[in-house]
Amino acid sequence: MILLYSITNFIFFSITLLVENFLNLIIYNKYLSLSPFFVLLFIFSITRFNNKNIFPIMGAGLTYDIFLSENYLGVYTIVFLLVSLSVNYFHEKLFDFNFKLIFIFSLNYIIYNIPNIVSFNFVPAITLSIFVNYLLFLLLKRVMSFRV
Amino acid sequence: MLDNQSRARRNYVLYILFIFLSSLLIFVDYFSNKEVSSYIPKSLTFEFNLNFFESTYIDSFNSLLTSRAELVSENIRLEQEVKSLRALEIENSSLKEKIESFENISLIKNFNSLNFIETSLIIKNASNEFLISGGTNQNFQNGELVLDDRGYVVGYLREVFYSYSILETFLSQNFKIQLIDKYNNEYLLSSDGNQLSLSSINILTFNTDIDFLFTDISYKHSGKFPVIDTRTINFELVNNQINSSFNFSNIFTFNTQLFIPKSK
Repeated sequence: MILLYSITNFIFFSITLLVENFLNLIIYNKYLSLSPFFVLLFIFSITRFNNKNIFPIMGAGLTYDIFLSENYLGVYTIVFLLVSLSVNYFHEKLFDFNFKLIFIFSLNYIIYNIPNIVSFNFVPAITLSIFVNYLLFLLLKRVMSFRV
Repeated sequence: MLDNQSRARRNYVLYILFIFLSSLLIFVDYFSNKEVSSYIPKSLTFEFNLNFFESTYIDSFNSLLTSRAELVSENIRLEQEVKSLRALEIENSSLKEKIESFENISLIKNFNSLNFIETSLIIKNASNEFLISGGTNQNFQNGELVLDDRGYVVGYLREVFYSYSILETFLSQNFKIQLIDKYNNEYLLSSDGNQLSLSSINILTFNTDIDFLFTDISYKHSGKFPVIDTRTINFELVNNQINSSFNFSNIFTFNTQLFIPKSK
């Protein structure tokens, strides 16, 4: 059962990651990138954070490193695991305040984009992307009606 | 309560352990000179024989209908004919488009001595690099130039796998290319991911009629493929130096046709 859960989630994560890259190719805007995979990772880390997610996340990261980037093997695996860990840690341990969720979302979106942090237009691009992806998260939250 | 806390802590420890495991993978890949990460893409093919599937399907479909009345089969035959005519029409229009784009490439000198292998964009990754179709299966090599349908250079191949390659373009921060003009003056074009900056390396003879800057010998086709139209940018000699910054003009979209030139 655990194996089936891991395989299903791995396929789901990988397809979302592929869709994310394909969407960004179609949008083709240097100031905006849609990140459905990040939103998915965010939702998973908040609502169903557990050990069973390690292998699907690692698998998705390795798939990305092998097929879709020229980074060393394991770079995006670390990024994805770190994002997942950090989202859950901040969500659980940080004291409550009005903009807690968007703060965690923004902080982790920056972690998610660490490999591109030296980019010249990183700041304007990330600001707009955080806003748009947070809207996407809110939309999904409403559609799926889960509690965070 | 205590159990929940210890479970959460255990989860965090496991995540951290797997982060360390992944960093170990980076070390292994680094010391194997990316042999580990490029093993699968270099040996795996993503080609699908769709034509075979379609023809098999249509044949079996036709054979099922042979037992029916002649009129019905005649109708189907006619329908198939119309379909194939439509397919031919689509193919005809795409060939016309191809001819048009090849005609645009006639800006390139010694056009006849080159073969142009058509390729297309598959995906854009998070580092603003593009994955294009074709790799070692089409004899692509690292560092080969990629042209758009107007004949301008849009980038070069950074990494080649079996059936796809990674294209480095003006949008990438690592993009650097050495250029020459028709008077053999040398320039360096680099990108910071947002703007292109052009600086002269060696100016021998400067004239105002330098219209295009071409790729130099390091990309095999010296002086053949234009990269920049100098008439569209601030291109002036100041203190025997040219330093110019400008935005990308040769932006391509996901449906732009791309070509890789190969010497015959």
